[in-house]
Amino acid sequence: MRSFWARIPLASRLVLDFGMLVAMILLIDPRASGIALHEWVGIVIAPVLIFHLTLNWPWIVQVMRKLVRRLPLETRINSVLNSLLFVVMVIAIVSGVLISQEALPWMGFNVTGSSTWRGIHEVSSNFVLIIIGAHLAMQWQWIVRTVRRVAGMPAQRRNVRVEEVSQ
Amino acid sequence: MDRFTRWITPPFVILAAATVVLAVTSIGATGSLPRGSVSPANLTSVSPPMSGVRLSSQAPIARSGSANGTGLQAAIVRAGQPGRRTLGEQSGGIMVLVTLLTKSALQIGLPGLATYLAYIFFLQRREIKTRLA
Repeated sequence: MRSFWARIPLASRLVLDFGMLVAMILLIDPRASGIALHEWVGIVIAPVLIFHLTLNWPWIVQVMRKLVRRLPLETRINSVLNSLLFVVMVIAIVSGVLISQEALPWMGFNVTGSSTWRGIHEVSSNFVLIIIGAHLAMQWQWIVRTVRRVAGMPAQRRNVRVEEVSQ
Repeated sequence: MDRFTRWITPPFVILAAATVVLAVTSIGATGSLPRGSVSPANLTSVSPPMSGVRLSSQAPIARSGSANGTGLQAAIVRAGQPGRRTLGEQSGGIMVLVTLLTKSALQIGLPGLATYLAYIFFLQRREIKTRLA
């Protein structure tokens, strides 16, 4: 069994990912959570997203290098899905900033977000949610394995072949 | 991978990629780069964070229903302003939680479940094919 200290980085990664999921849930409905909270969470999630990608950078580099060569289909799908999620999330965050009504004016900036950007924000944020569901599903076995490792539970015997490279 | 390549380079590459995505989206959608006039905000239109109340540059809130203007007429005036609520109109914490959880189950959970089932089906089918071969 791995020592407690050796498990800490893995646990913090799991906490970060869970925090991002909670943030995404808070972002779902600005009417329910309030526009100010919606905007602040949306702004805070941008650096967290960069940190999340930085943590997973070795996997990104590995897949990008092998993309032209033969890769398992699920890894290809996973990388396409992740790229799509990145693109749509960037659009959702930036368009959200451009139509800000609370956060940016509070910081001393006026942004003249047009109805075009409002439309882009609505469409992209709906796509973000759908792709996040798919992203979670594709990573589900990693999540289960990591939770078991962090909790110090023995590894579950895998019935299906799980690709190591897709992590 | 040295420390610089591992921790310093990625954020810059990610930011560069994000900038390209933004530029392409903006040119595709509006025909130009984003032109959000970033200027010092007009003090009269600034509202304190988390309050949900705008003082000016928005439709006036009619004072009917209650002392702080949270009546039906005010709600009608605010129609079309997503998430805009006046003080005292905040819905209960439990209802917010229920709404968010329901929506997340529908918008994140359902696509996630569908993807997971498809993924497991794909893996099982490949496993069977491998065994048969």
